[in-house]
Amino acid sequence: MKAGLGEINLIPGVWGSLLCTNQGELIENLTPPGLNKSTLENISRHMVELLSGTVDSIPGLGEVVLHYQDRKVFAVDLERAVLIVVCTPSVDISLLRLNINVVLTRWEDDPGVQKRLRERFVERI
Amino acid sequence: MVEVLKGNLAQLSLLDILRMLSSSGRSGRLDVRQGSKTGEIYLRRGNVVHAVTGVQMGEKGVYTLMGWMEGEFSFTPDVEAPEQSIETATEQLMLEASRQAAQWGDIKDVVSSTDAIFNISPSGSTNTVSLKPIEWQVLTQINGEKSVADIAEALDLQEFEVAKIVYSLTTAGLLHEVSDVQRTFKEIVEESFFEVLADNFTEVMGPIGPVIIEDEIKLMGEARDAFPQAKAAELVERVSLEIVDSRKRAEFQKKMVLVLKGS
Repeated sequence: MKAGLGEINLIPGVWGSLLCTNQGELIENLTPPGLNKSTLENISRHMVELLSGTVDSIPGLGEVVLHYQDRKVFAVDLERAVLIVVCTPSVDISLLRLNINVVLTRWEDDPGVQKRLRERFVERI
Repeated sequence: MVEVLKGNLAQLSLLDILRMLSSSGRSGRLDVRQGSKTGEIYLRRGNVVHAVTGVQMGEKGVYTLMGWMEGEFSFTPDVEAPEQSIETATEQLMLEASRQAAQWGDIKDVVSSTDAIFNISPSGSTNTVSLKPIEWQVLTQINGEKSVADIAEALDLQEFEVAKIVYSLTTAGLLHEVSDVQRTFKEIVEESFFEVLADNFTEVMGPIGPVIIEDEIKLMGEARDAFPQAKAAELVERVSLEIVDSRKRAEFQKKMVLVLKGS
């Protein structure tokens, strides 16, 4: 799982990535030092809430990109978890999306990753 | 109102001009211009009382303007300052400005101007580097697009402070300046990229593959012979959406990601 996040982080413009549960709790995290666990979980919870609300109102939508002045936050709905990638505004979103899809497809076939996702799975409220 | 003093900063530094105006007890507004950037410094009976440039005001504004090595200036006498943003004694302000001017001499060897743009060095530093919080803040802003001045504005810091940090990070091997050529040269995708794309796509889609690629290029408003590198991933993403089978799509994307990373 960490290797997958590491692969995503290698894309130019990606600052860090993390995987959290549907409640915003960290499952795996690969971000530079400086942000502690509770800060990351705060970000995760906000992103999960936003994603849940948006996905409910727009069926079929699986990702959300938030544009800030200095950062882009990309959240992907994995149903059993949420992948969050923090990037600089200059990131090539298409290249990021392609890489994420490659990693997610590999995770689908990885029993270890699937076991961890099953163990941490919680229904969304 | 009559302009009594006008000139070029390359010939007379802002510090020298301020020293002159201050020692003769002048009141008025000193306008400074560097390209599209402008700034104002107000004097009252020889004391610097207010300065503004962009979003920076007060002392920060003065020190930022002092860092402008090129540009024009003009002094209009007897213009009242709209407000007082500087309480520090002018002598002290000049002293700090002189200190910064002396340091600019060294910094300029690495940071040519506050318009210079830097990027993270791919090789990094060979030594262990420890960063102060402010250095980390500056480092997170470095993206190959923002200038030193842009970063100062984003972080509400003096341009001099940011230039000093960029100087130390560059000499530590963490950053490198983005050259004008890199900035202005719009990279074009090589023909071999299209050949690989067509081969991989045809493998999944059959003979219709190249036709879909050509259609997508047109829909993106581009031409194959001048297709920008920055849009290569978008093209791959767009054509891959035509692959219905998610496994086959992921396999195609995986192959193309390797090509994109290598290009």
